Amino acid sequence: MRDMVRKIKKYFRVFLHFQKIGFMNRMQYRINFVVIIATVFIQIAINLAFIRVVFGFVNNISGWGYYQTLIVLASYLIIDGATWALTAYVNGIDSHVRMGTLDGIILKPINTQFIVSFWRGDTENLGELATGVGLAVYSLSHLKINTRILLENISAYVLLIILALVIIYSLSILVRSAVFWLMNSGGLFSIVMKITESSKYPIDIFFHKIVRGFFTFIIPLAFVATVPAEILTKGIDLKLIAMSVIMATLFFVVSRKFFNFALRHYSSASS
Amino acid sequence: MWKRNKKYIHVAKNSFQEAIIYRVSTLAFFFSEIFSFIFIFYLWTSIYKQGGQIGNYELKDLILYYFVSNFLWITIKGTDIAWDVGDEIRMGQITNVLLRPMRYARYKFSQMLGGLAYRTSVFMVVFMLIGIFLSSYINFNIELKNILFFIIFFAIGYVINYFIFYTLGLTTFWLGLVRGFNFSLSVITGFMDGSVIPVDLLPRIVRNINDFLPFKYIIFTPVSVFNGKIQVTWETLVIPIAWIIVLYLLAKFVLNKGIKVYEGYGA
Repeated sequence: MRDMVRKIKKYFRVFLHFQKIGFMNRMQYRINFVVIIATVFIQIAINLAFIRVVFGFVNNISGWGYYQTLIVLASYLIIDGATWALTAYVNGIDSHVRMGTLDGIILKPINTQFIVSFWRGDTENLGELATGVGLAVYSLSHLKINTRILLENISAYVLLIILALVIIYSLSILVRSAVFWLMNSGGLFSIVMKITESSKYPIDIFFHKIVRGFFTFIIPLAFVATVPAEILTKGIDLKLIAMSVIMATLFFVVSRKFFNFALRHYSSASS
Repeated sequence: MWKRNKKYIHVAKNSFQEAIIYRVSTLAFFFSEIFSFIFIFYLWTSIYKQGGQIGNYELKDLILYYFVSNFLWITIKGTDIAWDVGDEIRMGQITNVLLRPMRYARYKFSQMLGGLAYRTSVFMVVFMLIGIFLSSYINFNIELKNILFFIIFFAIGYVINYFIFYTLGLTTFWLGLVRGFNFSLSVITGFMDGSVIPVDLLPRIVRNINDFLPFKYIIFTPVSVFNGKIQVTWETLVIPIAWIIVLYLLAKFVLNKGIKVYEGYGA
């Protein structure tokens, strides 16, 4: 047990160092950093403008009202912001494999998947996360939900957001691991990005049952933003929570195994 | 003249062949676009199920709009030009081109044309097949002259997008890194060019601002020419061509000034 705690502390310290180095790198080009932060907010404004335009013509999207749809968007912003800030969708692995710098990482006395996952975190996306939280609070204030029920919903919502982060991280690892064979996973990565982006609208838009089933169980789009938003606005559904836990665990275990399998196919590219 | 420019054809050919190497990547981009299109299809269909109409677009018009705009997006915007140019300057690789008997501007344009030719040839076939599959959902009553004008506006859109991001890449001579500005311009362009939503559905104030900018000629205008919402006259051609001239002169000016301050780090 003590060993376990020591190990967690060690990994947490390494994680903090990565974050610090990442921030220092950002500070090399300060204007760049400020521009990226500003753009993250422009992106959010565009998403809000799109929803505003749509709700100028209709009063719900597949049964989701304006503020409920905003909560789906808020959940997406929280997940996307946190994913960029923590792992940047495991963005760095491509160059490590192509340039052969993964050699040095493999030799380090720390888990390889941990390093390739957390070595880059985009601090500027914390703004997106914060905006997501703000938007969720703002939308909730317009949905008259009993305070006691709301507190229960929020605790379940936090759990579901963490599970959604695990799902997106696992998907990123699954897709990024293809780089060991392809040398370039940029194209495949764009699929993960499209999946995450598409989660900013309720899954109920897929009115064909087969398609909705596909985006729930094969590509777990539903568990990214719609299920957390549904629990937050409509109340706790134990079946949905259990399904989220199962999907997150399944995806994490499979991605972990696939990464280790892919790593065995790594052939160094350096001299 | 022909002999002098023959080398640039080889550059384009090389770039075309290089694109073929990453076939899986192209295939993945294709699937991500298919996914994006499926999503847009369901989103708008469920919105239209509430009844009513958005702007002057019927559901089939809107699906056609996103179908063509997705094609334009993946072909015209399939390469990150600013990143490519910026990296060459930052890493000093531009020196290799400057030392050769070539003009950097022509070299880069030819290189990008090679990639465009590859993407257009692959995705044209793919989108035609999808179009046949989705023919009952899309309003395909397109006149032949619209297709011909679309080809012209496709080329105009490509050149405008190229010069905007090429010039941005060139500012690396002074800024050192343009990642932030590139991200910012990509987001703004994506909104103003009609990739997110047709620009004629945007609020009047945004439309008025957009009229003084070149962005809508990248996606919105070619799509509107294709679906017949814009009738092509000489006037509709004059403004985007004027934009090309302005952007070309700006790019030339920035390159000439930039080379003078270039110090060739990492070369």
